[in-house]
Order: sequence, then structure tokens, then C-alpha cells
Amino acid sequence: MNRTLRILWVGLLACTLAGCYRILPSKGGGQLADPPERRFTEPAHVRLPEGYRIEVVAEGLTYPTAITFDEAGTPYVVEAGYAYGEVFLEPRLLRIDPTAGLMPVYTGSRNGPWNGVTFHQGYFYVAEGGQLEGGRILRISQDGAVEVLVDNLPSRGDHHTNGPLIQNGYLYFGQGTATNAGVVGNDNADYGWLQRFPDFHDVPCADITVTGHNYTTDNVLTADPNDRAVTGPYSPYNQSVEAGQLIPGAVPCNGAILRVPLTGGKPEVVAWGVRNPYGLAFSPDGELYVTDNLYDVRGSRPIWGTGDLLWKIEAGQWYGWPDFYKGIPVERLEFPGGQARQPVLQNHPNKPPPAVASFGVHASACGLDFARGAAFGFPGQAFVAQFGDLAPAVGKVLAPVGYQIARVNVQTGVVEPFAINQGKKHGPASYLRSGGFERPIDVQFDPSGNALYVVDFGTVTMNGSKPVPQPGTGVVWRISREE
Amino acid sequence: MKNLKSKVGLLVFCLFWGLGCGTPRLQVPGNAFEMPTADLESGRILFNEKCASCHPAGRAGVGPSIVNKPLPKFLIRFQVRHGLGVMPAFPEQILSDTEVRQIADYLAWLRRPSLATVDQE
Repeated sequence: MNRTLRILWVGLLACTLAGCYRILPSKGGGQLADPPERRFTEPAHVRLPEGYRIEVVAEGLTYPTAITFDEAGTPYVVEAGYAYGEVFLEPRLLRIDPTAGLMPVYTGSRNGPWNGVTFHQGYFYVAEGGQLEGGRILRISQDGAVEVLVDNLPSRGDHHTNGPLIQNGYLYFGQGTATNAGVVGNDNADYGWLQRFPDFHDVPCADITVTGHNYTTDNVLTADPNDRAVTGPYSPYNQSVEAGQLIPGAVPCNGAILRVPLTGGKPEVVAWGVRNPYGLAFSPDGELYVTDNLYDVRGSRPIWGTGDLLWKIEAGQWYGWPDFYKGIPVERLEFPGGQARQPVLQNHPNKPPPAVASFGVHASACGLDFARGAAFGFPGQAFVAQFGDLAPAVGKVLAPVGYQIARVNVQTGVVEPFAINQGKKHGPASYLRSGGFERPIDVQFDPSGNALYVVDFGTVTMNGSKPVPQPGTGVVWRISREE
Repeated sequence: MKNLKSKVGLLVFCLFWGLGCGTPRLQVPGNAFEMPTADLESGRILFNEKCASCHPAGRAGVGPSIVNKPLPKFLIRFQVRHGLGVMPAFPEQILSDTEVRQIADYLAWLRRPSLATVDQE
């Protein structure tokens, strides 16, 4: 009888779970039928470990993305000037003055998103995303004079120029890919850039040979509803490839960590084969770590079930995009209701290195920093801001994913929530109707190492598959030990 | 009598499952607790490596929550080994029997009543 009972239990479980994912609707954190009209903040609505406190440092920001500190420890924040949903504004660098509030230092042109900022020897270095004119690295003096250190970065697509970070006379930055998985498709028209730049596509960092897989879609660039586009990897929309075809590499390239001397010069490749290397940080022992936003379930080559990753970067290595996830070939990945994906590269530059840690699928692991001493606690561990899902545009989720600060033990790969909204459910403040986090996008320790600053992009809801960012809802939070 | 017990057992299971009345439990964020045994620590590491992408911190994500349901360990082990629905199977080449047991033990440990809790979906 025991055996019969067990079989019945297993059968029951199977019936209950087997159809679960396919039947249930997507329930992302931005999928709100009735979003709150305005944002409020309440630090008590963020759950922290015992002995820590959180406070609001600045609010009312529009799409803030990153924070840095000058030599006196004064915080500066950048507003992106661009947000998914095709919102174009002027990006800004702002000083957070303890008495006067937000003081503009420099206002950029409509070529956002500004995705990162760092301060070094009297200058601010900004990663300008380059949605309209290509990516740039800007050097801005404290009195607001600007010069371009690097330009013409391939940033007009889905992902942009990220970072930057400075060490030993070099400026390191991340360059995201143009597409989800190497093929320009109709999802890129939904993003908005395909109509602007129909010839734009991913560029590999070194010569590659392709397998010859092409992808057929409706041609959204012509008026004829019967017209079809046939597109190969690393190629412009509606341009096919042949088996064994060589695609020449070039620098700057997409899906790469690049660096350039602080004195200027040509970018050089540190590593490639990443997808959207958003957050960059050196660990206390001098190793370079990068957060990477992995594949979405969209476009001509959707890939399912791949969590964001934390990489330790080894110079010269290729990390697997667009044919691997965490060392697993795409043809071995599950794809509910669809066929397995086929590789697009005939030969792979090397076996992809192992990831340090993985995050939730669609969590959008962004800004990254390391605790450096005992003052804050958890020395040597990484803290990662998770922007949260953009479901259903990126794929289906059964519940909101991300929307928190995660702590990562980089020795074991164990990821734990460090700061997360209170409540019976998990999600952004607008979803929970609370005063906690909306979409954390950056974390940085202040120069003393005593406080962790969190940049919260603000409210982004979804209108179907289109993101709807809310201006003026960005917040900077500060987490410190209780005295 | 045995038949009656089985029916009652199944009924209770269905009720728990259907109503979602398993207690949701997650550790208080940021607690740097040590796992009480090396096996549980191995389970935690394996869970993070193999499972957490779809069940971040045990919560729902692409997969359902697995810390708010009273699944017996043998069912967890069965599902990990054989997969179910869209969840892939983890054969012996990927996870040994010992590793599957360690994951099941870690999940059971996450659900234990004495753990400080946060209600989560």
C-alpha cells in the first residue's frame, strides 16, 4: 500500500506541476493594471539584516543609474537621459549637496543612457550609452568642462556602454551587444532602434566562422505584409550568411570588456563573449568582476531560462555568448514549447570559463561593488543591485524577480538577499503598494567603506511589452550599520 | 483501515497543495549564518549553482516557489532527478545521488519552523 500511495503522490505532483508554467500568466513586477499615481518612500519598508539601517539621501530623480564620490566623499549621481520605452532626455551629472540638495554639474546631449560614472583624480568619467550617436566615454571636470576620451562605440542597439572603472592607468568599460542572441530581429524594431539604424548589428572582437543558420521573419522595414526578412548572425537585418562564412572581427566590438589608457588611445579587448556586462568592480584582491545580463525569450533566437551571471574576468577569454549559457551549449538548454537553439559559431574561441554566481532569470543584475573592510561587514563579498524583470517583454515569470540588493560570497557562489522589500509578496514598491525599493540599479560603497549607497532607478511599469518609465521617481538610498 | 489512512493522507496533501497553505519561509536577508552541517552547506552551494536561477532564494521566478510547499524530501529528489513540466532533469552526470540528497536536505532546512521568516510568494 505504501508503494501505491507513493505512486499516487508522484502522479498527483506531476499532474499539478507539469502544466504549471505554460498555463499560468506572466506576473512580472512591472505588470500592473493600476499603478500608483505617485511614489512615496518609507525606509521601514525595506528589510535589512539586524544591525543595519537605511535612509533616503535624494529623491525626485529622473532615471538615475549610477553614483560616485569625490575626494571629500561627496556623492554625485547621474541621470541616464534615456530609458527603455524610447524616452529621450538630457542626461545629467548632479552633486548631492547635504544642504542645497541636487546641484547640476554637467548636462549632456541626447545620447544616453549614461550608465555609469566614476571619479578619479579630479575628473568624472562617464559611460555614455550612445543610443543615437554611438557610445562614448566622457571626461568631465569638476567645473563642468567635458572632453571625449573614446567615441564611436557600437551602442545603438539593445545594450549600451557600461562601467567605467579605473585601475593602474587604464579605464575599463563594458560594451553590450546589439541583440539578444546575435541575430537582428523584429524585437529590435520593438525597441525602436532597427528603424533608425537598419544596418546595425553585432560585431565580434575577433574573426569568427558561422554555421550558416539564418532566421526568417516578417520584414518590418517594408510595407508589403508578405515580405520576408532572412537574417544571419552578426549581420544586418535581412542579410543572410552561408555555412563557413568568415565574419571579420573588429575593435571596438560588442559583448566585451574593453579598456583604454587614461591618456587616450584605441580601445583594446580585455575579454569578450559576454552579453550585457553592466556592473564592473575590482575585488579587494584586485580581480575584475562583471555582472552580465543573460538571454531573453524574444526575437529570432529566443533563449529560455538563463539567469544573470557574475563573472571573474580572465584576460583574453571568450565567455560563451551567443552559443553558451554558463558553459552549457544552447542546443542543450530547455525551450518550453519550442525547438532547441542551434549554435551560430562553427568554432568557439575557447571553452567558456565557469561563472562565479548566478542570479534569477530576468533579475537584471546591474551595479556591483565589494565590501572592503570590517566596518560595514561581509568583507570581500560582492553586493549586486537587481533592477528587476521587464516581463513579459523579456520572457514570462511566475512572480516578480530581482528588485533587491543581493550579497554574493564569491568563494562559494552563494547569493543571499541583503536588502529586500518587506511584505507578504516579493516585488517593487509599486507592486507592493509600499515605500521600499522600486528598481535598484547601482550600489557603491562610499570612500570610507562604512555606507553602501543604492541608486534606485524609479518606477517602470509595463504596457503590454512596452516599458513605461516614470520620471521623477528615482531615489538614492544609504545603508549603514546602526551605531 | 490502511485504505482509509491513505485516502486521508492524500486528501490532506491535496488540501495543503491546493490552498497553498505550506508556510512560506525565507531567512532574514543578509544573515551570515553558518550552515549547521557540511552537508547543508554543500546543499546550499549546489542549490545556488543549479536551482536558484529559476527559484531565486527558493522563491518563485521562472519556476514556482519551492519554500512554501510541504513537499517531502523524496519528491524533491524525484523531481530533481527526473524533471517535470519545463523543469529539466538533472541526471547523475550532473548531480550525484549524494548531491541531490544535499539539495533536498537544504530545502527542508530552509522550511524549518524555527528559522526566522519572511513571507514570500
